[in-house]
Amino acid sequence: MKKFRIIAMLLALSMLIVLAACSQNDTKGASQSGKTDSTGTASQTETTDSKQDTAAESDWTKEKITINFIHGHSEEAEKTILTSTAFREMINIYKQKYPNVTINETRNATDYNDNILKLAAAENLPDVFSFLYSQYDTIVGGGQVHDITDYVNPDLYIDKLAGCTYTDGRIYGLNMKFTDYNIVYYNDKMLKEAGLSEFPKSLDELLALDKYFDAKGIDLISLGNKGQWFAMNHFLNPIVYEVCGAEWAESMINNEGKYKYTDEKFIEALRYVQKLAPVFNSDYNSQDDVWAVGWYCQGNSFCHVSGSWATNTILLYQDENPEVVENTKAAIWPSISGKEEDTYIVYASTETYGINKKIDKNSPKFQACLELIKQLASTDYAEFCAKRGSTAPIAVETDIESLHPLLQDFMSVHNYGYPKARAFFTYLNNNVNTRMRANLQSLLAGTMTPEQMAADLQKAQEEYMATK
Amino acid sequence: MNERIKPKNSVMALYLVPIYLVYLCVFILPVILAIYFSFFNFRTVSSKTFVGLFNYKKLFTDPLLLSSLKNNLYLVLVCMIGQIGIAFVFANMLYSRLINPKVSNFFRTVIYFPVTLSAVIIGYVWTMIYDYHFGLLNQLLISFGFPDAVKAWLTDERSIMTVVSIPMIWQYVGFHLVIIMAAMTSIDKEVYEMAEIDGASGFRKAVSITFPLIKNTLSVCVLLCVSANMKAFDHILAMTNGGPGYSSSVLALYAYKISFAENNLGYGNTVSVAIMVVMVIIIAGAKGIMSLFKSKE
Repeated sequence: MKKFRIIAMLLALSMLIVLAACSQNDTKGASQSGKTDSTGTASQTETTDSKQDTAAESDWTKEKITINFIHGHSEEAEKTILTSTAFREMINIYKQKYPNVTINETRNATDYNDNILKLAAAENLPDVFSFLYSQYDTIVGGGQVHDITDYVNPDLYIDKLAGCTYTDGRIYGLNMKFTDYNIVYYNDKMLKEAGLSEFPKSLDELLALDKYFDAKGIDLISLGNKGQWFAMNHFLNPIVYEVCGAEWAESMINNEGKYKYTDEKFIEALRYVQKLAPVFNSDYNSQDDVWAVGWYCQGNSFCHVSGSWATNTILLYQDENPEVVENTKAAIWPSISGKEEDTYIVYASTETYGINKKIDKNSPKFQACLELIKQLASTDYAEFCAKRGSTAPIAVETDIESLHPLLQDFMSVHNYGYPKARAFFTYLNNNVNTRMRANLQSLLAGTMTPEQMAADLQKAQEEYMATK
Repeated sequence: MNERIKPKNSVMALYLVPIYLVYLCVFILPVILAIYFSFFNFRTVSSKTFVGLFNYKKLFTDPLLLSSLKNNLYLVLVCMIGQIGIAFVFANMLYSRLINPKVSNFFRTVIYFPVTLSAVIIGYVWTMIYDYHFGLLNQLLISFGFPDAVKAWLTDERSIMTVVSIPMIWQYVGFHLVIIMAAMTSIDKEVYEMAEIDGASGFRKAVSITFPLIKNTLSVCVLLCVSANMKAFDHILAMTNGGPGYSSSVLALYAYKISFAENNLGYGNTVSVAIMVVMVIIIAGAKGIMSLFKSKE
């Protein structure tokens, strides 16, 4: 009988231990703040001329510091995607500079954006993390990230850090990526065979080519919209700027309530997007972007519309499909009117790196975290990307002559001087953003009208404003 | 139990404490919390605003919730017919004396194999089968002379629910087959032999002997099928992510998207509570119908 009691007690005890272990807070690092009275500020890096860098250098570089860091760059991506390779390079530079800092990295390449929201909802974010502008309401509005306005110099950045400035005018992180979203990669040989000497300047001219390529069994544009945001960013973005105007778009981003999604001009923009559906590969709603690049590189489509990241992805096909890669040129997505002043280059600076607000601003750990995010969004990063023909939030001198012809072509489009517009949808609230991505699939499939979509978006916007 | 070795009631209660604690924390507490949170609007746990029944009012006017519920009910219906129906037919065929027991065992194992695979793997495998350009299905259609039937299966909103339900049927036929065959072993073989002497065909034996005698097992299969398909999530996430648009969205996926894509945690909890209520109603309804049949007998 005694044995039974002992076993019962042991079972109960072990269960309690298991339960206690499960509930343990895994952001120990984030909560170890406030244990030091260090007042040192960030040491100077190549990144920003911090306003507080003139202050006395602390000795935080001599203390053992551990940073818990979550990001969405997989090992595979670091080998194949330039921005991820650059990210790893920056981490390595940081580790060399600050050997006293140990970075506990958590890679979360799958569903990163959803997972960061889960951590934010539970107020369990790690010390340093990346997030999107559409998540600012939760993460910044929820007071979970440090205001670093006083530690950074916006003038260094192309967009003056607008991409990480919240509605209160304060800066809550630094963006690592800078991307153009409406670049057309087209097969110049096919274009010439179709009887054109240069890429169409107007949308109608481009769409007119569909008949020619359709007869040859070639898709005009390869698109992989399974992820839902590709059609939105590559096509709807520039069309909205042209049809609705920059003022309308900025007003919607800022939730001013001045305009509505049911405005006739927005419905007209949706009509233009719907017109594009027949020129895509039939399965655009069930394929992803990587597939769409491959489809283009295999010579199955005349062009592929994507962000600036696709340049390097296309070059990965150099050995497999050299003819297509050698004949690929870059152009800007044509405007409806064909006029240059209506042809916007849509960009966004994204992937904001922020610091958990649980960390004491006066602690050595805060300094270490600040230096880490500055390193990620540094001139080092910009130079690394520029040397390889990619864009970054900081403008640096680039010797484009040494680049592959396709990269040169892309850089000349990027630097041409088209009017710049920030990617409207990147900065929208989550309610509208999610609904718009899903509805755009239905709009392209023809199961939803532009009017229905506009009404649904307006409803989502009103729901957002009601719960804000 | 022998009184000498039977532990005291207090000791037995102590034995049960850990499992009750686990049950409470893992099953009961989340349900209570979901109901509690459904009365709030919030994006993070500490920033809750009490909104009373606002989220519940919204439930009844949310067309996406209704379309997700319809998709779930469609899935339940199709899978019930597909999974249990096919399993019943296969079970009768494999139980036939005409089939060598070794062959029967082999097929039973092979058919059960997909059950052991992860739903996400099944989803990706079937995404490849449905691929427009290189997929097995379209290649077969072309080979058999039906090139006009070739289409992008996962992009057609009108047929998408049927398309996504086929992998789910394929995966779980084996699960129900094993249950039905186990039930069939309890039927006295002499009953079949007598029916054969009387000239009963395979179909007649299945309908007039097997079906009535394993009715209780079949009703368990129905309940398992209903509960599994009401919480369908991962197959659809892997194949379509609820798209195109919201055409293949189901309740669990919708609740997930509301909570973690739109970050509307209060309403997400309300949708979860709604799923629970709908499941209880459907399962209670199914049990009620079955008990009605039983009482008539």
